[in-house]
Amino acid sequence: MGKYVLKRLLLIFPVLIGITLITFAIIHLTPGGYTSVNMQMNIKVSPDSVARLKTLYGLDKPLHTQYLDWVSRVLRFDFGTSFIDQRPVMDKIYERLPATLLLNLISLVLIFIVGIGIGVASAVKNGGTFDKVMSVITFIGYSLPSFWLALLLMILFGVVLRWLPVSGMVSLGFDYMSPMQKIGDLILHLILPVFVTAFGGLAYISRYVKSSMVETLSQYYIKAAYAKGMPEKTVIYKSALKNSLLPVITLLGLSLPGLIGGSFIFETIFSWPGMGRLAYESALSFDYPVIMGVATIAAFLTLLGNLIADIAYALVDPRIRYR
Amino acid sequence: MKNIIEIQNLTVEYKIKEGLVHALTGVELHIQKGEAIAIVGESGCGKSTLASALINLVALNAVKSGTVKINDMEILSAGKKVLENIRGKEIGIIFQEAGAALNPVFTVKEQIEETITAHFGKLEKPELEKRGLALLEETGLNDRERIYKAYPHQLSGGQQQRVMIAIALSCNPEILIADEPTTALDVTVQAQIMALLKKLKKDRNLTLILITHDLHLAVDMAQRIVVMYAGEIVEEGKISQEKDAMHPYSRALFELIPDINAEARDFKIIPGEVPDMTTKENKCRFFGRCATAKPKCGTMHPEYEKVKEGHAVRCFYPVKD
Repeated sequence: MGKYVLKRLLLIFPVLIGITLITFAIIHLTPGGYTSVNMQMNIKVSPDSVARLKTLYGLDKPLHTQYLDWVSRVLRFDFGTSFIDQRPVMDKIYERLPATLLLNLISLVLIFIVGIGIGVASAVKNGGTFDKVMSVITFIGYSLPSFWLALLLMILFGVVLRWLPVSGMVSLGFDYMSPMQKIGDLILHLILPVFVTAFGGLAYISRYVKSSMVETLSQYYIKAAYAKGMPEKTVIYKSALKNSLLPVITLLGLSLPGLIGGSFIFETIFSWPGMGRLAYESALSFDYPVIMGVATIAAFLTLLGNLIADIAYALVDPRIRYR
Repeated sequence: MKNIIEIQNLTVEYKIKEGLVHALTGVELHIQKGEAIAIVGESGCGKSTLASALINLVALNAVKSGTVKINDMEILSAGKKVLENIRGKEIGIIFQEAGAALNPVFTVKEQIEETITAHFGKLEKPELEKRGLALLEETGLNDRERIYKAYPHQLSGGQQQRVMIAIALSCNPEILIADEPTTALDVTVQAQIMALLKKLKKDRNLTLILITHDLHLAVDMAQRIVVMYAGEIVEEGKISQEKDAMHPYSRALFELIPDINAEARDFKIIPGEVPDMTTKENKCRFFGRCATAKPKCGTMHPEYEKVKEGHAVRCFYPVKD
């Protein structure tokens, strides 16, 4: 097991190099660039000053040199500074991380707890009223474009009913609130983004759990469990549940990167000050160091998440032992 | 002797898209305490449905009628609580494929102990473990400490079946149903498991119901043989060789057993197929495959009739020679 983990950890690096290389190539091959965004429309800018700016940021060097420069800096844990405000990339990421973590942790927990609950309940009464109603709801949740759902909910609860704030993480004047008011304000701001991020995931997880549970319940060992006189509740929630949740662990591992990477779309729609929006803003302004920083960290976490999922799987499923 | 199991006019039908599958029709069976009987028949004749009906564990799409009484307790109409008490505690059941019948993610220990706990409530840990290990010993397992803590996939097929037997016996049931207990095992292990079942039957004075398609096993293990065909019992009685059998189907089953001494080693078959279980025509169900069928067999359905003490046959023309 230890050897396996080590092997997998070492394997992360070649993959990571591939990912950063491709990301680097794509953002640099994109038409336009940092200098063009800021200067092309400005007739007062001379070609000279554009060239000077390029030299300043090292953008005049050949691409491979730029990449190697970047790699050598990253190896020293230096992700560089943002072009836009000259602040260290890591600072900007740290600043945005809590907002993303808060939002995504809440929706992840919600997705898994509620999703597993719905899935198991639907499986136990497969084809029953609850199952049918849930099928329709999850089908809708799965098919609706979530950005559109987000906009509709903003109109309904934010504009028409005026019950909930439509954007941001806190209200104006947050600093002057009492601690209780602060928490209340944060919760109000969280409701819509959490609901929208959780809705699609919920549909997915609950269907997944349901089909896994239905399959488990049809297994021979479930019949055998009933045959030895086990109460129905024990059979479902002990004998069957452990078996049917095994594949869900993989999904949990795959959700980890989203936890930190955030969502470009939702964070932008809800003006949520998180990682997703940071990446989006940097992409629009060709802020290469920030884009690369966010991409590298998201890629690293994805790979780590996969590894953790595999290890967790081996820990719960006795049949799997990695070599 | 008192009947420990009484089955009267038991009918089980499965609802499927094409209609009703008549898995069991009008089954009558009385089993005495301490008896060993074997239920024999081809695949799909209703043997396993009968075993499931004994603990009222038939599929959800099944329609049941008739009565099944275990120790005078009616099973088919019994509520959940009553059934949970009977299953495992009065009737233990072992399945065809122990590998599939054991839960892959729980240890042998957990699976034995959860059964004991379900019927006797929570016991002290050492007491539970003592009982579990004693069961493993009773089923002839060596290396018990390892096996007790092992997961099913770490055991051999024979070990898995022994563990299954240990679980089935963990709450001291009076009745043991063995549903094709050796089909998935290789021949030497088969013999060991059958010997074990024989020994356990004697030691615990079990009422044993062996379900098998292997007449050899049946004759070897059971005092009484019940032959099933297409969801009906066609013959029951003390049968130990071909000439004891009176139904043409039972005879045909004996014919199938390959003779080791024979010159030509052709495998014999019964011509034709088992009838469509969704239809119920007014004729003998074996009509069409029967070598000695007469016109009457194609126009009327034979009743199940007693031909002599302890022997009943469903045939207009039972074979007597």
